[in-house]
Amino acid sequence: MFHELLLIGAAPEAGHEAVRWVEGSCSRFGLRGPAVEQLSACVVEAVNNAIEHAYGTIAGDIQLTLSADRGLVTVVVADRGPGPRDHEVLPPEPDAPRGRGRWIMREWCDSVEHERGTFGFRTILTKQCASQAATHTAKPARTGSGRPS
Amino acid sequence: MIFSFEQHDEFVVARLPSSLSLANAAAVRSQLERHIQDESAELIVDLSGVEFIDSSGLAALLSTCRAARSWGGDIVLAGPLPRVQALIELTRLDDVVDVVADITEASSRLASRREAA
Repeated sequence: MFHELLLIGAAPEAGHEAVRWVEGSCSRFGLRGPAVEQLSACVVEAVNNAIEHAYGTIAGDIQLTLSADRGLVTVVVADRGPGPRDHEVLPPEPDAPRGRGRWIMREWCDSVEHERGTFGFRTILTKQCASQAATHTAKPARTGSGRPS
Repeated sequence: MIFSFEQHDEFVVARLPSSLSLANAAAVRSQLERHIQDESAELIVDLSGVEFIDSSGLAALLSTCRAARSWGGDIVLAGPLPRVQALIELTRLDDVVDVVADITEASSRLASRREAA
């Protein structure tokens, strides 16, 4: 299993930076294609939730940790906010102005978990991004602006 | 942000930037709605150059559609790339906004709607 970490400021541009990082990290693990694109879309929604709900107009950091093990990719998105009051996810009405982000995460990830504690709030997204037969043994290069966990 | 309006036959085509996300969704929506209000309520939104979209971007497109209809017109989304199309289908945005393969088809769609009105 390998880990990569990214620490980004809670700015509106953070989502796009997260996409590049997730897809770049997965590529270094030999993972690419629609499953990776779906995972990165989910990560963006989690990052956007952190920006909008944890910090609002206040400056803050969002920590992303990505690990991959035989194609099973887990991304943890952590902020210092309280998290949502409930985790119920209903299918959004097509013409609803909001409420698509959590639905996207639920539909496109194999699992979505949440943790709340003194550290703040974490969203844990897991998705199989390669066939079970695939194994990834090449050690990825260290990149990104983060620190090792 | 690369963003343009171009005339295509009798309709205007809005070409959106390569990313439509929380970072620019409000600005894109504002530009589109200003065009709808000031120029024409019939608009083709060219998504063929949009490589990434998130739920904020989808909400901006929906808001633009509502604005167009409130002014008696409509929008048609043209040429989304597969990853954008997948998100449109997942969130069922295509239930409320027309999504077609390219600008030519979008133009035909708007023209036939105009004739039917």
